[in-house]
Amino acid sequence: MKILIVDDSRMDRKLLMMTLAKAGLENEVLQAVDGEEGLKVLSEHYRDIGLILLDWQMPNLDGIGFMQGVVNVPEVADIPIIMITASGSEENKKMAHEVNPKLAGYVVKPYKRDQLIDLIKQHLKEA
Amino acid sequence: MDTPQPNVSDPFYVQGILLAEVIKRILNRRADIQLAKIETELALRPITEFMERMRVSSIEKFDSTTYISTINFYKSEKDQDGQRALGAIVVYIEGKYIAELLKRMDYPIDDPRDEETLLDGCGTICNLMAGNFKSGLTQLGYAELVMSHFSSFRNEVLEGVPYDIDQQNKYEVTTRIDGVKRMVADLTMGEIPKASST
Repeated sequence: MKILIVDDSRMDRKLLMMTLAKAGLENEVLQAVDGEEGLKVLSEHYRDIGLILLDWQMPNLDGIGFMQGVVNVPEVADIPIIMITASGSEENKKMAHEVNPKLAGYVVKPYKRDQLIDLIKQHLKEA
Repeated sequence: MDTPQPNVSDPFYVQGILLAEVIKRILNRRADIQLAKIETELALRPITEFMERMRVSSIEKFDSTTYISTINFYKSEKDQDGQRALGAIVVYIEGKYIAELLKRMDYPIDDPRDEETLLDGCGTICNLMAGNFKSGLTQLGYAELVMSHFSSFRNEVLEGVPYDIDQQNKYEVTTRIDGVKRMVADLTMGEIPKASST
């Protein structure tokens, strides 16, 4: 299935794609530059998306706003989301889990690639 | 104008030290630069204000092309919506070094001369520093702040950067790698509530 990356940093999106490729994950990657675009891409491709990698701080609609848009829509609520953010405080983690109790992971930048890949492999939905 | 002197008992000084440590740790961990090769220097500088915004220019930082990224902090989402900034981090990276730094940090660079790539890269580094700084503040007992997304510029921020206009000074963290000045970060911050008081 496809992986959706929602992050305003092109550099971080490319780094994630490179990390996926190096780990042998050949899933097609969809990209969005903010939460608004993420929701648009998700609504068009949700049947094919098996995992979402989500940043927090983004223009227009941030990662929390994106999840708020996702969690109450049954068609997409079960797609695993891993939040990848530079904000690693306990309060931020708690807030993310409160907004999305099914959150598959909360990874703090700079992250260890093998740990992220383990998490991705653990949660990536198969077709 | 007299140069303001750091006050080591001032919480703002501790925040400046925290930012310097965050910068060192990120360069060490992500760019694999030995800590012994990274020097940071903290200096208190007056803020130049114009139309209630902090003037931001690379002229006093580097004498060549400089990439600048800014991130604001707010006490709450309501303050963010009302654009009432509590603080700001402004990161300046020397133009002739930024592509090398991004490569050392393992970011994929297709074209090291591509302006958009370098602006995005500067913002990505600024985000990494600001996010880790914000987490460090909570470990010091401060309330969680709301952080903006990054904005990036070349040489100056014409419109200035929002800040708490009651503040007169900023901390300037100059970073030298292998003895060469490569990056400067400015920090301004109003009074952050303690975690227990929120």
